[in-house]
Amino acid sequence: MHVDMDAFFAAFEIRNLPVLKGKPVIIGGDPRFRSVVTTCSYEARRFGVHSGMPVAEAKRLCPEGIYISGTLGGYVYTSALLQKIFREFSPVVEPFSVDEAFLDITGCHRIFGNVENLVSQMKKMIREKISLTCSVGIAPYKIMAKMASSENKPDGLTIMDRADFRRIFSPRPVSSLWGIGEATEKMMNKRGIRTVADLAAWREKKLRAFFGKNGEWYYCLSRGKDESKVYSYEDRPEEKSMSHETTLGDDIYRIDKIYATLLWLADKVSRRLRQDDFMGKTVGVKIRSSDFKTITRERTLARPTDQARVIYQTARKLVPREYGPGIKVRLLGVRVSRLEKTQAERQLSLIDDRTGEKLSLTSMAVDRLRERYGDRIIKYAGAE
Amino acid sequence: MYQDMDEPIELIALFENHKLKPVRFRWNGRVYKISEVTGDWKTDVGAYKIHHYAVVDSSSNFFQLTYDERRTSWVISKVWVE
Repeated sequence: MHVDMDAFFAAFEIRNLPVLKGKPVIIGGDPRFRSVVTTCSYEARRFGVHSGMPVAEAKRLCPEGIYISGTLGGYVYTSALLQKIFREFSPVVEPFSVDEAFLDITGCHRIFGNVENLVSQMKKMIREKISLTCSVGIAPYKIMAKMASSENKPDGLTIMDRADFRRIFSPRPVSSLWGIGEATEKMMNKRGIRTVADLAAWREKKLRAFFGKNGEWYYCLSRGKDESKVYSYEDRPEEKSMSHETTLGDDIYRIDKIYATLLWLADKVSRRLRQDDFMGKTVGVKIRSSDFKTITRERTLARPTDQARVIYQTARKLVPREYGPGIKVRLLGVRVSRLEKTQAERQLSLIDDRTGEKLSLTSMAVDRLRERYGDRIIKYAGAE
Repeated sequence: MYQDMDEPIELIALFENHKLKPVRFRWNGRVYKISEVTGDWKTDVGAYKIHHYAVVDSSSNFFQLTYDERRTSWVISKVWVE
């Protein structure tokens, strides 16, 4: 089962402020500054506004829209409440995003009589406790359930099997499939693949030959079929990387500002690593300039790390020399990959490297201060 | 649009069904009777919580009220202006 809250952020704001009901509400920040649309109400979508669109463009399409910068803390809190509700209906809940989750309801529906009753009771609980609605897809596979939940929004329920999937999706363009965006669609169109039926007609071997390892995924996608399990949070597969990136409010071109932002990002990534007991061996940076050209660079370290200073110093060296004066940067990201669990490695560094030990203890002290007093209590000198 | 504020208020609340329910508050000498709590949530600042309430008063004015555990005080954090 896939549960997807209906226009979650917008619905949260409308719930809090009922005067917004029926109006085009756009969550994404002040149109005077650079920001993108996070989400919008169904009324705003009728004007062509959608997630990911620059707010300035949304303003042109929907000048009467009501723009709200959002209540991140409220969304996070409500999302946690939702996860608790989901757990009343299945012991295996895999949060997919702040407003979506997969539930393995194999056998669970018998407790409620049938799946329709299970969904009805879950929706009732969500309405009573949070005053929001969701749409649900039920299918034998995760991919299919995810696509099914989008079929009858808002407050929908779609039960789909393989025959339903073929009937509904075959005539649709390939971009109607989960995860196939504009670039992939263009690539597929060049090969004569326009509809889901066209994609399903290709054999897996041929898809792999043309699209590499993604070919296997496209084969599954065209059939709505995948073998992946629903994982609860506790049983989730190990993380492969952690990263943070930020779109800057204004383009920057001074190298000191670029470095300051990298330090801030390195700090955030290192904190997450320590929280989840990971260290990483490869540090990467992502830089997008104002003409939307994006580059990524990475370097593998001799030893894994979870220290902001090490991640920052590595990231800093990865910034190509031409950045700085003349090239405006709109997005920066820092990524740490090739993750390992901490315990054994931290023991080694305490014994072998005095400097490493001091760095580690300092970071732990900073983490404790932030846990008690909040993130703003302390920051690295020079960080943005 | 929402107007951000940080104005101290005095507030009366009930404890009902294991939840806190703001009932009325005084701001700049005027008493506002809350007719509905439309939403509530909490955020963390370190080990402390900030409690947020979206409310509408008897004159259909909309406010966001917050209780900060660090300061043990209530403020109006936002007001909706047309």
